[in-house]
Amino acid sequence: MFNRFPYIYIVLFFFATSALAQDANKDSREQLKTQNDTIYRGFSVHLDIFSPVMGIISSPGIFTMEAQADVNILDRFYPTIEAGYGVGDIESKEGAKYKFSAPYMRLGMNFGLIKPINKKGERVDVSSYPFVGLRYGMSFLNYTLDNISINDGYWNNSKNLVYSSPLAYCGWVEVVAGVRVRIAKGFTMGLSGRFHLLLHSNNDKNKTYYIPGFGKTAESTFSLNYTVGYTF
Amino acid sequence: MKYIIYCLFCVLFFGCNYNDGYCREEKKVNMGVSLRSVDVVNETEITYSSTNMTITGLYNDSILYEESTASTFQLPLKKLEDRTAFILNDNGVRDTIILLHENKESFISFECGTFIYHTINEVLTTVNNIDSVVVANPNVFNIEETHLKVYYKRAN
Repeated sequence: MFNRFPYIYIVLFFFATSALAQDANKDSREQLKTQNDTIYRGFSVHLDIFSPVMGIISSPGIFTMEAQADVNILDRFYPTIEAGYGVGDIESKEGAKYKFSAPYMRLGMNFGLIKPINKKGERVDVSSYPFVGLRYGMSFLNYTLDNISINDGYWNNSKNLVYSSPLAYCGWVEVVAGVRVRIAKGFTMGLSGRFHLLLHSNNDKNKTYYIPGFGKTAESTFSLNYTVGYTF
Repeated sequence: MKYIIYCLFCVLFFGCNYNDGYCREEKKVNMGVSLRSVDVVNETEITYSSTNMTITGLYNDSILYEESTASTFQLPLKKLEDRTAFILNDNGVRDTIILLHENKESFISFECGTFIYHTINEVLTTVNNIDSVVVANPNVFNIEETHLKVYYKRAN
C-alpha cells in the first residue's frame, strides 16, 4: 500500500527533532518541580501532518486531514479523541472510479510505558514517553463506485455499473504503538504505527474501497500518524 | 530508546507492502461442456470425439471452436441476457443448444470490478445428431468444471 520513500523522510525528521527534544527536557524538569499531584496533569492538541502528505505521495486523489486531543491522567493514562475528514477521487487500472467524502472519529486511550514514579519514590519526567493504545474508529461514508464495466466480449455487448451509498457506516478497532516527544516549550511531536481491524460495515465492504481514517479495506492493516502539537 | 528502534523496525517492515493496483483474479467464467456418447455394446458412457466439430454462437459468425478431435469445450454464456444459444456443427450436421440461465452480479474488488456468474435453469436442444443434454452442474462459477454433458447418438 505504501511506498517506502515517505517513511525515510519521517525517520530523518524524527531524528532531527530528537535533538530538539534534548533541550526541551531541561524545561520539563523545571516544570515538574512546580507541578502539583492532581489526577489531571494537562492536555494536548495535535495535528496529523502525515496523512495529507501520504495522500499526495502514495495515494494520489485521496486527501485526509486529522486532529487529535488527549488528556493526561496521572502521567500514565491518556484518553484520546481523534477526528478528521477525508475526500477522494481515484481510478483503477481498469477505469473504475471511486469517489468518497466522509468524516471519521476515533475514541480510545493511550497508556504511557514510563512509570511516573521511580524506585526511589521520585517523580519522573514523562513529557516524552513511548505508549501503546487502543482505539475504536467510525466513519459515515458517502461513496460512489462508477464505471464498473461488464464486457461480454464474444457477444458484443457491454454495460457500465454504478454502485453508491449515501451513508455507509463502518467501524473498526486499532492497536496503536508510538512515541510522544517534547521538542520545545510546550510543543510536542508524536509518531505512531497502527494496526487496523475492520469490525463491521452496513454495506458490502468490498465496495467501500477506501475508508477515511482506516485506509484501504482490501489490504490495509497498518498505517502511520505523525503529529505535531502543543501540550497545555 | 528500544521502543523507538522497535517502532522504526515496524515502520520499515510494513513499509514494504505495495499494491500495484492490478487485478490478479481469474476473470473468465465459462461453461464447461463435455461431449459424451453411449457404447451400445457395453452400455457404458464414453467420450465422444468428433472428427470435425465447429461451435459458434447463434446469430454470431465468430467461431468459438473448430477442432478435429476435441471432446471438451469452454463456452461463454451471455452476461447481460438470460438466454444463450450455440450451434454445434458436427461433420456438417448442425444442432442448436439453447440455455436459459440467470446471471448474478458479484462485486469482487475495486481493482477487479464485477464478475457475472450463471445458474443454468433449463436446456433445450435439437436432436439431429445429439441425443440429449444433461446439466451436470447448474452453477457456473469458474472454468474448471463440466457444467453440461451433451450426448451424441452414436460413438465414432
